[in-house]
Amino acid sequence: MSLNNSKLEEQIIASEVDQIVEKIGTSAGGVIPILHAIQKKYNYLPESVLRRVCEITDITPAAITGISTFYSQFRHTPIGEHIIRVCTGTACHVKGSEFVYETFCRELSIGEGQDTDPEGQFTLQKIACLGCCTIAPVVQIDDVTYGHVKSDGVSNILEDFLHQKSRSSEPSSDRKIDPDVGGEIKVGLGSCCIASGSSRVQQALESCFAETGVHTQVKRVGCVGMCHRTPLLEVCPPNEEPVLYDKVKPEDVKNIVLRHYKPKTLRQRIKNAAFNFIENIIVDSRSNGFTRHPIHVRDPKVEAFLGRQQHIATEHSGQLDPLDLEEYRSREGFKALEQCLTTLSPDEILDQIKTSGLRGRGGAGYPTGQKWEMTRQEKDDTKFIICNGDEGDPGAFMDRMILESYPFRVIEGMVIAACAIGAHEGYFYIRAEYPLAVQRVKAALKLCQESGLLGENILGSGVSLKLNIMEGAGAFVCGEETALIASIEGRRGNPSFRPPYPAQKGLWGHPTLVSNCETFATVPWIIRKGPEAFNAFGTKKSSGTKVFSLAGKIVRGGLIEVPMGITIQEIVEDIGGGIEDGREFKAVQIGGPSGGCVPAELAHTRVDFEDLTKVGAMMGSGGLLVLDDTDCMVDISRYFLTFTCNQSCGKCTFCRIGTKHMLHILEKICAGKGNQEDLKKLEEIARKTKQGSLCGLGKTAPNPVLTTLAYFKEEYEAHLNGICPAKRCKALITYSITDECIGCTICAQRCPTNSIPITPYNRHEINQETCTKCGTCRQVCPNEAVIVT
Amino acid sequence: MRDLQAGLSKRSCDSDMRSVKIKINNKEVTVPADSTILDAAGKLNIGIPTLCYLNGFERLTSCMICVVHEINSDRLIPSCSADVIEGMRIETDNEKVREARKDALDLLLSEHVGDCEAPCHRACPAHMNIPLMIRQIEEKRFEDAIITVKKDIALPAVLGRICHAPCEKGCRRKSYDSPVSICHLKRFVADVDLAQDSPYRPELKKRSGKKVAIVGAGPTGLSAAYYLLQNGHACFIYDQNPQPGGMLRYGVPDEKLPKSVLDLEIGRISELGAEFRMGHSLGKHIGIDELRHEYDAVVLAVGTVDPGMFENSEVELTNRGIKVNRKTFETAVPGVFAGGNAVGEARMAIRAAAHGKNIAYSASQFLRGLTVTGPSQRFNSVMGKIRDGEADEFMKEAGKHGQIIPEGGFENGYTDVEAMKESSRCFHCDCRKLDSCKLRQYSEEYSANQHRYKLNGRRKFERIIQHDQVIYEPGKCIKCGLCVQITRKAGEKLGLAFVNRGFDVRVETPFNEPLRQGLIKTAKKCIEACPTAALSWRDRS
Repeated sequence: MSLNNSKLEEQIIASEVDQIVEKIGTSAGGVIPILHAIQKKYNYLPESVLRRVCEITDITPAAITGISTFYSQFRHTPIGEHIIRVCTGTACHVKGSEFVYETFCRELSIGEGQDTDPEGQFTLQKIACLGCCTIAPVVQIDDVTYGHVKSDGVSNILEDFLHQKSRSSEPSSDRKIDPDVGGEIKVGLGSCCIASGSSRVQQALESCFAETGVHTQVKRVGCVGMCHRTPLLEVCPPNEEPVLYDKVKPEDVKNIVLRHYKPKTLRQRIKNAAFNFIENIIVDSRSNGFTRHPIHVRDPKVEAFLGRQQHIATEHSGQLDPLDLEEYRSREGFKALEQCLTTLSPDEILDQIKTSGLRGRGGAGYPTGQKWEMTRQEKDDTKFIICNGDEGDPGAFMDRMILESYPFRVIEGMVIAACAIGAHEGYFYIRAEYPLAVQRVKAALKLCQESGLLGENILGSGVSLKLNIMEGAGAFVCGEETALIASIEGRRGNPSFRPPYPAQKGLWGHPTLVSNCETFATVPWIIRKGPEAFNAFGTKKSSGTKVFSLAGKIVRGGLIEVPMGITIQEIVEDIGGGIEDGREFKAVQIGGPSGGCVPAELAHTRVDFEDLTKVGAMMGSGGLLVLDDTDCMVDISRYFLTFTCNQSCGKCTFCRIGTKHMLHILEKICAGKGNQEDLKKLEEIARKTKQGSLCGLGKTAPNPVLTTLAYFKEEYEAHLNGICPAKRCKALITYSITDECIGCTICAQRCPTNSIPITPYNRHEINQETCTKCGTCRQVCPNEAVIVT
Repeated sequence: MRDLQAGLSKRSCDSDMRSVKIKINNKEVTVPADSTILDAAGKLNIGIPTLCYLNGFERLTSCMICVVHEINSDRLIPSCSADVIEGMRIETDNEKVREARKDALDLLLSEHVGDCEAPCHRACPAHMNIPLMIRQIEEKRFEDAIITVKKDIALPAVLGRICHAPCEKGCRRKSYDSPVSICHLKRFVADVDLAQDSPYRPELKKRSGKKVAIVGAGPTGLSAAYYLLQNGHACFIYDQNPQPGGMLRYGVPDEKLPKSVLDLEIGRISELGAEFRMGHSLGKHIGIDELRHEYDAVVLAVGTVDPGMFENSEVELTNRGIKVNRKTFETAVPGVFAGGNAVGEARMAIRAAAHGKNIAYSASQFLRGLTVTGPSQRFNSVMGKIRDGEADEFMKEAGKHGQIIPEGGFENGYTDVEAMKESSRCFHCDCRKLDSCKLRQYSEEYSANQHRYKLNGRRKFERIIQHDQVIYEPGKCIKCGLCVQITRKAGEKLGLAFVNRGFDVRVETPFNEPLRQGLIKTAKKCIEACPTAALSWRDRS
């Protein structure tokens, strides 16, 4: 009987696998898409399925084993019904994601070494970075994202998720909106906005229309950049100045709509008046107040945020529907391409790019024109173009925003580049952690294809370009171009020695241009406005603008585009509005795990490729994380080394073993067990790893260590003496309650480990044995009676 | 960097295969443009160390041992992967290069889980290859076993009865039950040999024509003579006692060491040509100057030192005995060597005997006019203490039974069968590629230091035996991936695969299949290509 069952099961698997393979193909290069499809189907990669794949494709058992264990997206064991992903990106880390993770473990009774709760309902995972840094710490449950998560809010989140889930089974109304009312309401639908609840705001809008009879156009727009105020709702009534509402909650929507639009019928008007009356009372009675005050575009804070910015790659930010091709074209979209196809020769295109001084936006800043030229000069009929959207740096989300908000612009830049170098096929390589970006690019490609902007004979020019999407599978190292190519070819993402550069010998051995999304997004503007207009911005060696994701301990975080050469000070103080909670500005971490920490004393440093390298940091892809006096620099180093050590491909000796040693020493120091000899060794290994590693990952991995050692040596020294000046390293701090305690019991009620016995009206005490130093008590104490020493 | 790129665009302009001229260590060489620096160096017969490189295979660029210094760009680049570029200037062996190679080796060693020589081998003062002897016994190759023993111990039957056996204190088997009875096994080998009609007689080198005077016929003097004779030097042994043996004869009770055994083993030495001059005491009947005059070298193995012995000589003394160089055993007087108890630290007979062997080495260097260095110390990877669960890994190859007690009691020694059974208890901790491991070879060459960088806790030792011929010890793998490539190229159905990434990378058979399924046709090739002993022949011979 059971034999029959297993036979039947085998047959079912076989036919299911066969279907997947039929869709993707049997070539060895298709292994990653096949694994994605299998995981989507089975939630993990069952061995029997993998064996079947090997039987019917050119993929070998060794290849499928090697690849499925290399990329962290792939799982080999079954998971719970839902997946909880706790983001451990840099911004989330400094805002306490570790405690959030621990609290989930406790709430769900997930023991050490396990990842799924006993009921099999939730599987808990740490994830490198979800790219929602401005609303850190972030947690994603299936496709619902929660921002600003506090450890004591974990149970609420679980409850909310299960509640949402039961509700979402209701069919959503798919009503057509009567466009005649005039004006429009813009809803930001970048990932940050969605994570902060903008899709729920959108739903609230829909139901509000149904209820009030107000009909107006709801327009989804890409990222506005003001991620610190998401979700944003911009109401543009006909013939009136637009009004922007920030941090909108679904329950605010009706109020906002009724402020600007009058219901159509009398009956509804009366009803709504009553509603307004009651609603306002309810809202007013709430202590934390949900009423939203409109902010004017000329609000000084908004002006400060937007004023210094210069939008090139993010042109028309917050105005464009990411997938409205007509709108994009009406705003000069694809003009540059037309120009390139009709009036400019490939050499002239190349000249323009070279004159503009544009340098690669992905990190190292290699001159783009030179790269194009190298690829162009290669004699090969087959050339490829790749858009590198594998933004793996924790704390960076520029690529995600650009792909989500301006997919057409990136495509346009790619087609222009393809014209210049003579490529006819290309790829978008996009991180699997960015599903929305994948979805938007996919849709945009389809629209372009249908409009003759892609495919054979583009706009009748005779030029052809086919673009495909390749989804990454969770490997930071694949941002390195040779590793990225290996990944597209269906291999483990191991970098290889350059030269030969991809420009000479890239994808499948053919000349290949690999550039970052932002680089491509900048190209149309340069062609349209001329290279001089571009290099009018920026500095001599770093022309133009750069997009940064500004996050961390800052008042106004978000996606910003600024001229190169702006100082760190200007970004932090003017655009970012300074440090949140009135704390002290300590440092900025620029460039993520490849970059370094620039101390506040060096805030006058200009942000360009050369000056940042001079102070030991690196532009990287543009993550800019602001740190305050509560951030421990040794902990930051340890954080980044944990990351790079996890992400090293493991191929070369220095990176594989060197990063491990650095991490080991940093852990020792954070635990208060380090000595002078360790400090010496740490620096020594850092230098050797920098010198000896094969690729950029290993060569730059020591930067966070070296810069903190250079600028914050005294903090390391303090740790050797058992003191963590920022009071962050758990092993070196103690929480205690002072005489200020009024015995309100709140801390005792909220303590996740029950380490504070409830003693009403008496001073409470913390049981140090069981205290996990999560800091909840300190956060909730109304009388500041909890201190850290 | 700039030059490199200039060279590059030049190359890409004329992509036809042309030849390129570069300079390596200031020598010009012209090679095809698709050559690597390693290829070019090969053409000049310049050796560059490599671990992950194998001719005809994909460039791996994993180990980073092959780095060379490119002078124009002042960069260190991996020569196995870097193409030649016109005008390059390469140095393959300067200080920067040597340092980088040592760094890479230090890092590789910091995660290396395995011993080169076994702990018993290292612990033996005479440095006898114990695991080899044990395997020879187990395979009933007693005649080979005596060669192994006598290569380092001149008096094994004697020491087999009185040795303190520091080797057994290092034996890993004791973490499972009790150490292997190494000392008794050695005695067994020696007894079997002595019982033969014609016991083992080592080959003697051609006569050097040199004469050595050895003062003292105890374990040090006898051992020195045994090895000096093998090196072709004539030996004359002076002793104050009527019979040779020193403390062995006059200090050890007969029930522990029967005089007959001592006589037999001394007999083996006189048979090689040693001349005994008994009844001569130093300082009374003979003087050092006299001996120096008459002989080409002098060995002082006098046991307890009496200051009167060295009157009027230049031999320097300390309060413990004769002052010597601890490595070479040279005294203050050229050509005069001293060891054993006379230098104040060899109460243990095995240590005294070891001194004798080492003195023979140094004295031979002296007699041949070479720089006296003493025996060289080989590089040894040391795994350290055995952890929980690791004994089980070693037990995969070892007999499960406890110590074998000879039926006739230890005083009568093991029988053949008993010795073989006891031998089967050995863990064989020693590396199977002791002499062919490239990691060891380069570690020695570059004076690598395994303890320079330390991780908290090493990985667990594993010994995977899932193949009739192959042993896989993952802790010794340097992740070069040659075996992965070889199996792929050969079209193995399963082959070997890299699993995981970063520090957790390891090589495994796909789908957790046993190793034999992965290495159906490529076992030999993989073992030969493996630069360490991660993959090795199961059968040691």
